[in-house]
Amino acid sequence: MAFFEFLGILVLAQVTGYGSGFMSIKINNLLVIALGKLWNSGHAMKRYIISGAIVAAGFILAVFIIFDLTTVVGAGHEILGLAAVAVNLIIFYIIGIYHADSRFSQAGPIMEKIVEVTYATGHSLDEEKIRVDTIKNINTTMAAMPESYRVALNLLFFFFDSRFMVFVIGLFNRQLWLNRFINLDTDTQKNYFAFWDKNRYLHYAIQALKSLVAFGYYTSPGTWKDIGYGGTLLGRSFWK
Amino acid sequence: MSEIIVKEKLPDKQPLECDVCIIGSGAAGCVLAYELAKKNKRIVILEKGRHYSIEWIKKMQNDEHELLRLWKNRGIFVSRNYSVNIAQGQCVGGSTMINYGICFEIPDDVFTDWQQNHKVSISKDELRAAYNRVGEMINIRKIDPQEAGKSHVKLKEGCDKLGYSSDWMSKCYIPDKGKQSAYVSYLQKANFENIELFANCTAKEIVVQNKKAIGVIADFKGNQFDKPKELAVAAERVILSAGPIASSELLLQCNLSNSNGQVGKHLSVHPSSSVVAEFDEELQGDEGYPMAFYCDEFSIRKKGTPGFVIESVFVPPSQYAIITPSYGLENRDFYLSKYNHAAMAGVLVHDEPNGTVTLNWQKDAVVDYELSKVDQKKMTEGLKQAAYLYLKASATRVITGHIEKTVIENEEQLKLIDQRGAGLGALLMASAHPQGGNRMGDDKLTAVVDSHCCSHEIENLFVCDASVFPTAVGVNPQYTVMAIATLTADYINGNSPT
Repeated sequence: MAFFEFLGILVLAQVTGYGSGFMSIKINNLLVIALGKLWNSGHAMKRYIISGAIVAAGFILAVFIIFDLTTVVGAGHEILGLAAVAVNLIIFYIIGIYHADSRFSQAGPIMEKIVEVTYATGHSLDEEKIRVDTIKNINTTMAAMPESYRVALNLLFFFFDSRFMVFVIGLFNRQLWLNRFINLDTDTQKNYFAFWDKNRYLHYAIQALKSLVAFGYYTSPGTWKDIGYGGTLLGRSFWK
Repeated sequence: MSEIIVKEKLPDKQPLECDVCIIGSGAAGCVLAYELAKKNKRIVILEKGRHYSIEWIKKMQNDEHELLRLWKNRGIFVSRNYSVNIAQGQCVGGSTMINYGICFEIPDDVFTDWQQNHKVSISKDELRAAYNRVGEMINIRKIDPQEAGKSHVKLKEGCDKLGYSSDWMSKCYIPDKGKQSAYVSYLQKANFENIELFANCTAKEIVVQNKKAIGVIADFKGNQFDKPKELAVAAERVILSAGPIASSELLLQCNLSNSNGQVGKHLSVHPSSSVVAEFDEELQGDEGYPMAFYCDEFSIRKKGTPGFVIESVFVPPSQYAIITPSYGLENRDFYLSKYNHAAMAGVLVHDEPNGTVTLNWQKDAVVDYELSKVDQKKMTEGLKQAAYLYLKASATRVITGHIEKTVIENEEQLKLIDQRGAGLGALLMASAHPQGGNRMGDDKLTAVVDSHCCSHEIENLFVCDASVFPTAVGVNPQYTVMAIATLTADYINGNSPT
């Protein structure tokens, strides 16, 4: 019985560690948006170490208060038991951080999917080149942004793509959507995007994504012919 | 034509000695360098952005992404509340490289207000003489209606039908030679022997000793991929001409000239939002000028109080897609497909100076700005008037820059613009004219610099750019910046350092 109780504490430590690691990335990013440009690995690393230490200390204190460790791990092994709990928590805290961070780098595929959903017709031979150019243009624009804006946009991509938002919006559409945006089928993706655009509040949030994608698309010369743009307007501002 | 040589290496001997060190090479910096070098002053210019030769710009003229290198952050600098994007040039030549070269003199009522309420002791005659000198250098001429393009004529038609005050704009250009940016019209004509220009060079400290500016420390990258190296400049005078946001930023970072707490205060941005009008006939707006005609019926020039100016513009599809409703293929099929049938205007609000520049905890500039209630009314009225003008010119529909889709097809629907309003988050707003932040005036308690642009607190330190404007001018400010820089140069040439 004591073994299973200890196993339960370890699992709880792992869940707490993973969850707090995952959330600390998101909270850090929210801080970046709220406080301006503070994103860099040095500052972020310090914050993660401090928040990890606080979570571990709090969890161990709670275990110490709630459980009778002499019966759970046996008399004389309390320190060893707590150390095992702390190590588990910290390992999973680090896994949580890496997992969230890797999600953060998935802004690219999310953006590519938005480009496909909004502009792909499937009828043009030039479409693939335009798609590639559009994505290149968006990446160039994002790379030139101040770090705090880029982080804000990445967070927006995250939020837009999250299972949670897809699920909630699915409920509004009386559908059960259980996947992330990038894993939905194309029609559902279109419906999901359209809901954001038509909703009075989400509309403001998605304006930034729409602007970024539209800018990337129409700075691709392949798109100009269809709308009759000769491509010379900007140059004219220098020469006329 | 030979171009000024941009330094690629640090000087052998540091500190580099000069008479005047100018931080920034925009509308003011180029004028100052030219006028001071003409009088044999040794000049060092420190420019944060890169140098792009005329040849490079010619080569890249149709590549929007490459041209965006001339902008700060490629054109993205938003206020803290994300309500307005402020475009600024960041290259040798500054914003004069990226703007349309439109020139207006300061309206009389604005200048009188500066004199009477802000204790600016420049006389109208002095300013007039300075305008004339600048005008000769930059070749100001009124836009030829035959060349402007049909899309701009639509705004004129509306103004004519309603009897509104309006005219073709004046801009600095020479036919076949192009726009006369400050880089082309001043720096390229300057006495090169007296000027050392460092691009990719970020001033990080104005060195002050015994309340006198004696030099500048900067981070210099000869090549954008190099690691920055420190450049020390010893100067008898230092002029900060980095533009309203960057000039306030450096003063705040160095904690200079700010005993009265006025640095970074009273910022205006001339917020503008757009109106797109579609017509039955093809207008081929992209074959005309990017900006050409204006209606000043509701501006301070006609009313005597700050209002708004409606300026005809034409933007590339990348911006057109952003200011029109919907997204993706729907946006293309319903709006972009009418690109060649469109005319556009920007409503430029003569705003109250209620913005601020402060530093975040990493000591980078942050702009706080929100339209006041009064300015919201001006913006709403401006959008309504612009839409009305285009309907009078027989537009089939007019689309405003509201985030919520706003399409007007008849005069009855103009009230929709009132309903949308211009509150926070209602409109897509942009700014190309930040002004203020380091007010000019002879009262030490309320101004950062005196009427010669000299700091009230630090001797031999000058601030000379649009940041010294006590209030917004209500029209495109480049010409006035250059005129004030001319007067500052005259003052420096006529007075020894203290």
